[in-house]
Amino acid sequence: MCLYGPSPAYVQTQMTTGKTLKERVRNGEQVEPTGDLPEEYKRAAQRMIQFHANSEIVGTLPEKKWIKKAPSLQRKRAISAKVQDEAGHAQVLYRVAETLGQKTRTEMLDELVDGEAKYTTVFNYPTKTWADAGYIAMFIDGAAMFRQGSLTGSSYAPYARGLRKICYEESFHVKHGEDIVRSLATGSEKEQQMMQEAVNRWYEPTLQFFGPRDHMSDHTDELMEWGLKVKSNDELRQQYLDEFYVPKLEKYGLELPDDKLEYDDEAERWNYTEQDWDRFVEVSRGNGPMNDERLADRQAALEDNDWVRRAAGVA
Amino acid sequence: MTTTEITDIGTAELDGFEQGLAVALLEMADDDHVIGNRLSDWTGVAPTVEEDVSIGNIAQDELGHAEALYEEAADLVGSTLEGLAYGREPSTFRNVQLVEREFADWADTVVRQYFFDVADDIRTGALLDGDLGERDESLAGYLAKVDQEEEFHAEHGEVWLESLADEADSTERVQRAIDENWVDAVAFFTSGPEDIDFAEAGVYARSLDEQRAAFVDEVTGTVGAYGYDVPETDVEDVGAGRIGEHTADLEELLAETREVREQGIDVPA
Amino acid sequence: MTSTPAENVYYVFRRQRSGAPLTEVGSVDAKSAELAKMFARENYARRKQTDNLVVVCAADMEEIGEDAAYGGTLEKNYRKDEGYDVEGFPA
Repeated sequence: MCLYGPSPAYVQTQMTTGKTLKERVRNGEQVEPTGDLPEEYKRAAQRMIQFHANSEIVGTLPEKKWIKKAPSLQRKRAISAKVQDEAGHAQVLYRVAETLGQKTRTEMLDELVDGEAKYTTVFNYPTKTWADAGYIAMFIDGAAMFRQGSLTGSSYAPYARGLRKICYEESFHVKHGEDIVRSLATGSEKEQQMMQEAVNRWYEPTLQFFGPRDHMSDHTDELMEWGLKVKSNDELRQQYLDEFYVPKLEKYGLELPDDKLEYDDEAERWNYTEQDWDRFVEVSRGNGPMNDERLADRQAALEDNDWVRRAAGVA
Repeated sequence: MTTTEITDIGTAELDGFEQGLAVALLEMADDDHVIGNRLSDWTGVAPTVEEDVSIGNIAQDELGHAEALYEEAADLVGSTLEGLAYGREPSTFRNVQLVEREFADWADTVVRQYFFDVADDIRTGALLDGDLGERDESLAGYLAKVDQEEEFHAEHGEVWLESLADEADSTERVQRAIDENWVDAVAFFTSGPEDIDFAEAGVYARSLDEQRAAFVDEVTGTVGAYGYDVPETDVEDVGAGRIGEHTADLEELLAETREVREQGIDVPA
Repeated sequence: MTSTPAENVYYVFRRQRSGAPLTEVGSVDAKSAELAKMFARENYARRKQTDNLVVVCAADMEEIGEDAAYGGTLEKNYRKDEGYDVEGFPA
């Protein structure tokens, strides 16, 4: 069971504790929220898990309108269930973050709308067609599965546990998305064109979903040292391209959206046109096409329903 | 503006019971289709994340009911699910206005959904206690399950009504929502232009008037226990969704459900 | 305050089927048992088979803690199979 807040600490120097913990996680140990977790560890875990929780709740917004617009009652229920899961994942992850004893869920949700907290850049782009809805469920949730799958080995036990549940639910999202992609990719010329256009448009945000290149990432080293992160951004990105993105596009007869995207046998990696990382930083900082709208929606949700939460005594 | 008569919708010849059943099913399906879509407005912005998940369940349940009931109605009248859900003009829809309007706030949502769930449960009960069990055992079996889901929905509403009764501000909002939606709620127990005597046709075991009375009783008792009042019921002054009079909100909602289909994108064969 | 108050958190336990143990599956934020039960039913039974769900307020949970010397501090082989060198119950 999740310990509610840290238990009374006993005195240990941070250095000693830090070394012990780093050794422990290097041996693959997973830790519960006890009183002797170093502050640096907790801060790093908080940043990572809060980012993830924020991404889940914001992730419901790009797909929301496609529930009404879904072209059949079956699709409508499936996409509603998928989006509903994202809200459920946010619930799990905010609680996991709370076990670190740094912030309350209310504080995290407030920070999000105040623009003080980050979330994945991929949800700062508009969804323009039904093909986008299928693409996101298949390729973005698919990307998430690689990332989350690796994180089930994270050193922070509550996070690892939460992610196992999340991975179990995420797998149906990919199938739902793939069903739509298949329908469009093997459909009429108009449908195929719509699907290809979505693939082209989402390419860069998709690859950037895994975060900055390793040599550019501020936090990766720290997160890896603490065992919070198991695979690096580049490792996951390569794995995704190799095991999912390229094979699936080829399977459905969709063109790769990048001339340079190909496997380099010598270097044993996928080469691709380097992403625009300046743009990525801009979007993370709040200057993407949809940032304002996403946060405005969440702000309205909090403000308009403040009276509900007060009456119901919840955050 | 009056909706199309049931005998003009499909191709089949219907006896008295079948006509009544077809009308009842179409009203139910339209109600469910509209409320299921309308509830999706809360996605990602519900009062709490736990409630975002909860309201999603209710929406999905209603949409599932709509799909099955459109199929049943289509079989009965000689039409198709697609034709009924996507091919009819908004002015021919038979849902009550209670389910179509945009939600004003959470109190409006909780109250309207609660009214709908209680009314739907009473209507479904009247259908199950009629001749349906003899005439169509499989549909009766399905509706018994629908009824159970509606009871869960009503419980969700009751828990919220009770929780919101703890503060003066929320109590006021809920009371206002009850006052503003009461007429539309009792309008649930009206029907279309065919003027069918459902009780006589063996479709409903209890007439619409009796169902309405049961609804008023139950709701008055439940919300009264939480400290809310129910307005005087003036049966004359009812909304007219069931005869095809609707708001712009319905037109917009239905248009949204059709725009991707109409482009021929990802439409099932 | 660095966590939601314990009286507003309920832990959720599921018994998957008759005969199975009650296991922790997560939590819900709620001010009352009624609200917690409703949220638990809606959030924790969407896919997995569920025979029963139980909610317990975090404020009512008593914790012993990670520092207790569980099972004592000294070896107690006499409680285990390995502590004996006879055959015992035939395999």
